[in-house]
Amino acid sequence: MIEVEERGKKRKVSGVKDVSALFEKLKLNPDEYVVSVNNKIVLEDEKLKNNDKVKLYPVVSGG
Amino acid sequence: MKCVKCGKKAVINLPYASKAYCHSCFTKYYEKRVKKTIMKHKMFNKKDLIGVGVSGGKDSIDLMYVLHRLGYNLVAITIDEGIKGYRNETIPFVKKLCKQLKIPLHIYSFKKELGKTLDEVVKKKKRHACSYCGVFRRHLLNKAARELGCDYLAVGHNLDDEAQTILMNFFHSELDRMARSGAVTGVVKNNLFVPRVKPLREISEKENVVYALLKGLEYDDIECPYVKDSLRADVRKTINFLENKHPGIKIGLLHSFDKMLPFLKENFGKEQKLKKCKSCGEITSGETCKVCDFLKEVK
Repeated sequence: MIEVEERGKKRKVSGVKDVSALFEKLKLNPDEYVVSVNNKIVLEDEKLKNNDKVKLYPVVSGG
Repeated sequence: MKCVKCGKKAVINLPYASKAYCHSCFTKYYEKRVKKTIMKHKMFNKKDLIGVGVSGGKDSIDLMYVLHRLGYNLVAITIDEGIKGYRNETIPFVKKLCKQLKIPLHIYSFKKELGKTLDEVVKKKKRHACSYCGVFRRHLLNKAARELGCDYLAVGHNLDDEAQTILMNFFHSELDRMARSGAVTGVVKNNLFVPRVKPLREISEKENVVYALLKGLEYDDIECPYVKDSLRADVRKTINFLENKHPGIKIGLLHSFDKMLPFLKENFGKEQKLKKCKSCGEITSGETCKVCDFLKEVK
């Protein structure tokens, strides 16, 4: 189980082996997010393990 | 994935350029590209006073920071549209960075300059909020840059903004508007108009987020509440879908547009004779300017 945070909202996600699988599970476009795992910016091939803290930074903002 | 420069662990992958970079190599690459864009389009030099439009979002925060790092002479301009729960959240980030970099900040508000906040305008709206906001914001940025004696007004438009704008102008057959856009805006020179430049136009939104995070720059990532129903939001979704499947379409679109621009400038927008608005004295192609027309509309 990993913790995923986006714009201050947290949720638990299970059954994802890497960031790419997380994007697929959450139906997100990887082009629209930057990801950090345990406060380090990572790419889609980053492996995920139990208790990892994932933060999603939406790249779309402003008007 | 490894950095193409030094082999360390990469923090960003740029499929369109077939490159991946680590923390240190990416920030250097980013700054080099901004400098290259400024030089390529002969935007400005270190003797010029540059007004930087800073909203507090990642793009404009990055822009101000990187121009400062590159040694340009800056003054920050913030437009407060009066959008409750949005702009009041972003302005503190601008104030903080200006203080840190010792850059003077000037805030111009819709309420003070035009008599109405965007929230008040929208209550009486006949058009999408973005139509009013775009016109009012451009007007005030230009006014502020002129009043502050700026030679150029730099805005944080990124590759995504540019790609979206090109397609939207095509969709609306706005060839005159396209002729006035590009890296340095404007066709006809006029002393009431401060040329706008876009040093980040070849850098994607995603690269801007990564740069801000790596540099520890604080910004607000709240999405404007009015953007959701706009054509831009739909175009953005579509382009991002295509870019994810076919990397390189955004930069390809921009480069194609740049090649077409001399033709557009030669054939469109030139006949436009600029006059002074009868109501406010700002430049316009008609009898009255769009700002005055829109203000009348929502009176």
